[in-house]
Amino acid sequence: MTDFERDLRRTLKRREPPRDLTPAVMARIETSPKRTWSFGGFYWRQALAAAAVLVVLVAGIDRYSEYRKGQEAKQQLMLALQITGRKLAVVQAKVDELNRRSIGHDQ
Amino acid sequence: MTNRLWAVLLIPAAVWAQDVPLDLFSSLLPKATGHVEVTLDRGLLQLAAGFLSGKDADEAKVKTLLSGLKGIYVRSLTFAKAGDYSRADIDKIRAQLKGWNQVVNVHEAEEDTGIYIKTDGQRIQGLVIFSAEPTELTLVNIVGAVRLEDLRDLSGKFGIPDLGDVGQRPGQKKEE
Repeated sequence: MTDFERDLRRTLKRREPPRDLTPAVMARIETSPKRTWSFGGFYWRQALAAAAVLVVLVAGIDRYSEYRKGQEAKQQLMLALQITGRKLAVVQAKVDELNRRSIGHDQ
Repeated sequence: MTNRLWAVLLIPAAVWAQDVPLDLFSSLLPKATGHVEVTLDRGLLQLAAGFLSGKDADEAKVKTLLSGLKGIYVRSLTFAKAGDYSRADIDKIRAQLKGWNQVVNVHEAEEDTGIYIKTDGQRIQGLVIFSAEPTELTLVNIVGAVRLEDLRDLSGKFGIPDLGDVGQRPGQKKEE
């Protein structure tokens, strides 16, 4: 066994952790200060998230309202065109009838 | 023969009149059993146009029609029975249309229909259709550059009846 092999074996030898490692780590976790974005009791991260949700919500409502308004306008437009078309067709029919009568009378 | 009448609609006649008052029917509203009211100003027409597909051939035609319009206003009242409005009511409404150029007037015993226009000398800039039937009174006011050909192109679409030769010049064949 060369010196190198001996060093390597020693280095890689399994070592058991000290018995108090787990309780010590847990104790440190519990005592370490939590990272919060609070400033004077105000939680910025939560506030920013709430603001973002609010912006998305307002934008969504606004977009939906615009969509509803547009659809309503389109329906109103179609109704107006139907009524206009119906009345023009009635006038057309009456004029046709008068023309027919007039032609019949001439003959 | 029919074409001759509709050709009259295209004859330039410089007539400027104030827009039709929208409350023409208000005094008759309490007697009506039903009413339709459509008020689409330029903003709403543009909004509606935004919801029309340019890819759909029929909706594209409506978009073309809307391009020159400033407003569409419809007032229609229905009555339970004939005689719920009087001749005097019709005369009062017609009096409000003085200043408009009446191009069609069909007067029958129980029905009275008129088409009025105003032009800028070249094109129709406003159209009013007034129809008085025994149980229905309707007034349509289209404000802006109206092309009757565009209206006719919508024949049979979106619940619009066949408009036959409406807006067709004499000798012009209807497109199929």
